[in-house]
Amino acid sequence: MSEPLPEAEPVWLLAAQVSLRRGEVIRRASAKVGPRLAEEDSVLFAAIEMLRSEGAPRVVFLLSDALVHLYQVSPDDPSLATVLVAPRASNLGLLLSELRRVAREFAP
Amino acid sequence: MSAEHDGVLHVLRSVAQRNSGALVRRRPDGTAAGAILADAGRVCWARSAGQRARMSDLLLAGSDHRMTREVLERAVRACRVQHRPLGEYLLTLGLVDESSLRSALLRHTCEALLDLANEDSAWEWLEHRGPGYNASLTFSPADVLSGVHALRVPELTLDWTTRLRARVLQGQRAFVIAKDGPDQGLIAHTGCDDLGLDALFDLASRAWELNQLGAAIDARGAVAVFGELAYATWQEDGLLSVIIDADDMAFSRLVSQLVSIKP
Repeated sequence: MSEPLPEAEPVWLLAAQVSLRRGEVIRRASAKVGPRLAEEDSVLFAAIEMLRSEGAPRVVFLLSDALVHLYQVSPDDPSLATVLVAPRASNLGLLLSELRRVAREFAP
Repeated sequence: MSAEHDGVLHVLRSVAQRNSGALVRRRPDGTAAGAILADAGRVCWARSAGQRARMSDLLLAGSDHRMTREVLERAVRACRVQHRPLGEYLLTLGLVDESSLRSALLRHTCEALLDLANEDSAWEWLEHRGPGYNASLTFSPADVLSGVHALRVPELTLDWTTRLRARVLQGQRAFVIAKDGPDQGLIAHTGCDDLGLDALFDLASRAWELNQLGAAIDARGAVAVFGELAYATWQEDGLLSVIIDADDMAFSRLVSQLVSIKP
């Protein structure tokens, strides 16, 4: 399911909630403006694989040449996680609070 | 992993398991090839029969001309009579500073340890029940492993120690490791003095795991929280660098640090 969050100009390119138990994407939203992230599915499934393994971290930040990835396992339901991908130039403080906001917004 | 590296790890494990005493390497003819002294699970001092550099040369080099050979020899004699450790005696007299003394002791100890690790003979443990050593003049596994590395490539260890100290914040631990190649092992560290060998390996293995997770998306660096600890890892000059932090703000702090290190 793809559904834009009610956000005029999000700081991210892709936001999603994933199920770690079932290994699937539950909700996702892409930025309406700006560059679209290529291979969204592979990014999301890489995040699922990373977070569902035994002893996996509960919060992850990855820095690539052009992007930053933030993944967080829900403290309330460890079978769910929020994924946020944003341009590398993004304000990090804003992204971290956006991660929490998106997690709340996507919460079942 | 090289046999030499295995030998050093064997010594560190033995010391950690047995606490305080001397680990003696005994040749088949009964003579001692050398010994490693340990106190409270930390390495204090090592001596090998085949060692080239003498401790006195290292001490004189590190004394910044405050001490002549004659003064040092007098101090050695006094320590023998009074049964006092030489390093602590020199410190009391102000003939060396603690940093120079630690450097000289570590270098001498690591040279001896490598010599002994290469010997093909049995180890013997002799329990020690006397007074302990000054803890600030004893060495953690991280000190010994990076000290052994510094014997092979001193510039690399010095350079990375300086870089790490400039990058870490108070209360953080950091280290740099080479996973393969001729320089395999711990290159440099800061803030890992209180870690035993197993704890150090656990941290390194978590850091490597995080680095592998990041490789899935070609990440240049990664930060993650495992249990109570937050880790930042990145590859630089072919080596894996790691910073570890442990409070509520550790994750966001490490994210900021990583971004400033990898602009």
